[in-house]
Amino acid sequence: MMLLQLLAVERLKIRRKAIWPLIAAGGFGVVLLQAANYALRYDYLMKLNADNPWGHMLSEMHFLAVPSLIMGLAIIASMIAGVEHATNSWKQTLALPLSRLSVYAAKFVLLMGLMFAACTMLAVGTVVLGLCLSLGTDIPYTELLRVSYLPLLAALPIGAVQLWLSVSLANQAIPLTVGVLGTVVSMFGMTLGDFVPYKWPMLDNQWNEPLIPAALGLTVGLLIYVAGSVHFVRKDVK
Amino acid sequence: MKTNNEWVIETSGLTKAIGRKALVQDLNLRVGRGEIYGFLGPNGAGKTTTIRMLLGLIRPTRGSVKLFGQELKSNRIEVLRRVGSLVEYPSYYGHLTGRENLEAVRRILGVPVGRIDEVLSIVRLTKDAGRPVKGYSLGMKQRLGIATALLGNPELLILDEPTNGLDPSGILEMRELIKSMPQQHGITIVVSSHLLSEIEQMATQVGIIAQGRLIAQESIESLRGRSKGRLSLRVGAVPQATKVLSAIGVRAESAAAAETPRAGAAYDEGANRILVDSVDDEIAAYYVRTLVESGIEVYRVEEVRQSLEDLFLKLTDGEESL
Repeated sequence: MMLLQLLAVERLKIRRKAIWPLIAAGGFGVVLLQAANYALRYDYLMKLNADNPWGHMLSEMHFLAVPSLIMGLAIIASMIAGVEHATNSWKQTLALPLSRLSVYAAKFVLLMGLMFAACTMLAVGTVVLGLCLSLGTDIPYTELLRVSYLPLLAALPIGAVQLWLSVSLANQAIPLTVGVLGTVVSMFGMTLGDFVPYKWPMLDNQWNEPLIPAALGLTVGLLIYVAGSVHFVRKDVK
Repeated sequence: MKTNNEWVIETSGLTKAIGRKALVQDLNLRVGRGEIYGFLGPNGAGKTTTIRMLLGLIRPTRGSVKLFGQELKSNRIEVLRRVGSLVEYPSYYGHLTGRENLEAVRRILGVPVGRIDEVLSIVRLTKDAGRPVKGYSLGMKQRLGIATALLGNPELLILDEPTNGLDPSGILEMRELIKSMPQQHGITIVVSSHLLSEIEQMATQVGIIAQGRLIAQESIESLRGRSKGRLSLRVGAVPQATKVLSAIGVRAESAAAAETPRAGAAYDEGANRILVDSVDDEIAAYYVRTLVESGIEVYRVEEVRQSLEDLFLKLTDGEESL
């Protein structure tokens, strides 16, 4: 009840902050990139992937989406925390009769909710693009859901760290830099060890089981979230 | 069970230290119901730190805060529901309109939507409620801050430097607004400032803080008595003048023994000067006449007003000598 109320307030606070256009740019941007990819070398790609056109399109989509997922987490976390830092509104927000735990929870849920929306746009856009490219109507839905949403679960630790940094530090240059570096590192994800969190959104591992990084992400992400919120509760407010 | 004379704010041994440095030390604040409590102190004395502890924004190193007779630490949410606050510079979301800013807080407090219009009209922002707050003047932002603080019908209003950065008419307006609240709404107010004159004009009770310590806590009348103006007379012979004045029942002290006046210091300070309590013109004329008729020259008569700084010096010195 309280959390829903707070979420409504958080959504009100980011009104006119152009967050939704950004979310759309992230979700559909990846689709557009992929569309350009196919437009440039349609015949080549279709011939190359003739055995499983949908599967190849999805795995390339996944590859393109991971960097924008990580960058998105950093930017959105920074915007959500930034509205409080900008005019030092923490002192007003936290002097209201509500628990700090729920304030932090609302910010985290909002961040993940917005990213979930971006992933959904990506999924829908992918289907539309696939149909436009005449990949056939035999859409592999399980695979679609897997590449659309499992990376988000696997990236939960990254989101939790970004939110923690953005909330703790008034200077948003630091969390944004961490976000950019993380994005770059994730692009070399395939070469990283299986236990490096920046590899997890790639869902690639030695056991060939995409659920493992997703489960790891969920567990570690929640742990970091709890640590962040404990710190937030104890923190002195400037 | 609550009694009528319980303290709205009661702190005991409240201390905040960062490392070894104590920002606020052993504060025992007592604020009674319906008071306008002026929290006075120079910049950096610990006013804002104290107020942040009262609101649970920072954790005391030692000591406790009781609001409405309840421990703040264990009843934070319940207690804060009855408190409205404006800490230092106003907090607002610049990209949102005045009304949206209030709405963001209203949803948390759970008061009816109509309350927004009420508080907007109290601070006279109804007309500008539809504009983004980043376009407001500082005075308007400050008023919006007051409106936000009033939104939850608080019993206690804590205002930290509410007139900071306002122009004279803004200050006057803010002062009238603050003064009207205990009368109209029965609210208890704590208002901090570094200006004695400002506190003097609205407070009923005053707490003075310097270097993190509460050095005085008393009614405004009693403080006024301490800081009232005095009459400085430059005379030909100090001992005789003192004697003559005491013969007519006036206690005079030589300026050297009292604090040095800041005004009119163009000549040798303290030399040949005596200080008496400030009086009306007729009585001052009577003093002068008595002195002159006794054969004592009177060179200058001037009103010396003790500044807050002097008062602070006096108060802190007093503490040290205890």
